[in-house]
Amino acid sequence: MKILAIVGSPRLKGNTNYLVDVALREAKNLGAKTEKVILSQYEVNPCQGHDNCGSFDVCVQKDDTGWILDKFCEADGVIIATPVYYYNVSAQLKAFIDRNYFLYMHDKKPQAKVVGLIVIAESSGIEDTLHALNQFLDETFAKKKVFTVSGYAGRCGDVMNNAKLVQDAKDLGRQIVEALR
Amino acid sequence: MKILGIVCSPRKKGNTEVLVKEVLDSAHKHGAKVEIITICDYAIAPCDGCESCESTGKCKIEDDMQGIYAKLLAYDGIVVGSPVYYWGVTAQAKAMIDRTFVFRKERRLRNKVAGAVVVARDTGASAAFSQLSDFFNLHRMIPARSIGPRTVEELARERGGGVIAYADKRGEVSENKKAMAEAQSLGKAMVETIQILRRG
Repeated sequence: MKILAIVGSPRLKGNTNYLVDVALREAKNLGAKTEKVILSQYEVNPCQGHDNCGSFDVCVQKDDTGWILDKFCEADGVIIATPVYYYNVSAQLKAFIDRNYFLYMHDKKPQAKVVGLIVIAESSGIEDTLHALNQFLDETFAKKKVFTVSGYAGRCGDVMNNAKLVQDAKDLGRQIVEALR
Repeated sequence: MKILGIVCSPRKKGNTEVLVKEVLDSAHKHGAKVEIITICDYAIAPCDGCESCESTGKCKIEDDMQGIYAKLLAYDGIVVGSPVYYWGVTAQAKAMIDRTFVFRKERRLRNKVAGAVVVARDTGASAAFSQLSDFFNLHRMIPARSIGPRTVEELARERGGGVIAYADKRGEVSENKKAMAEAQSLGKAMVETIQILRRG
């Protein structure tokens, strides 16, 4: 059982990353193989919009998106996590989402049956962000069960003092594993 | 009076560009100086969330966004246009939006007049339009409003604060009379709103 987390936060020690680690640790303890890809650590460029993906076997942009999408397609469960920037996903995650268009144009669906969403805002925008992410999931996955964790935290590490959110993230890890069994 | 058009589509001569140009042509006709830029011609890294701008008032990332910052501050009106990708503005637009965090604390874009242009193939236009409206609102920018006299027909041909259009093939929106009329109306409304603000 492989669980992949795609993280849209550029802060390595931020609240989003912390909760992803909590969820993955729990999943690992329950027997899953886990992996985390922090998008800002790699080159994931925006889609160039030529709308001609169908003519190519691989996306013409030579960056890290290709192998990340391969992993995204192969995982049994995925976690997508982002902080809220301007009432929506971070630009890093939006670039990854837009690049999924290549899969769409090739009628390729990720095989994951379970998706976890983690969305952390400083003060607002969680609803808009979850709406955007759920639209993306509906378009991209054939059939999936979705578990969601969301809440508020501002400064790096604030979330560690939020026992409920940390517990929610731990539960998310367990729920994904149980749903995949 | 200066109005800047920012095209956030990676497609040259695409529908977003056509509409932003139409907005600017109309604004020019009504007395504004205008400039159009295409965000994809610039290298703009995403915000890295360091928040050092909160104390320094500057962004530490030395890329083309520094030049865009100067433009944003210099213009009285800003029209942002984006195609809809996955129920939102493009990642290119989002990178620029996230990088304006540097202006947030002191609301340095406050009272600039804003226009939104969104082009969708079939769905997601309202979500993207809201995204741009929220962006303007966070900066306390003022959505363009048709303040001067209008006929009922003219009012029917405008959308408050922006343009929403549906199009697919490159540039085909220029044949869409309704969308082009909305764009012309937006250009005029931006000029009027800037004039009102200047009068105080």
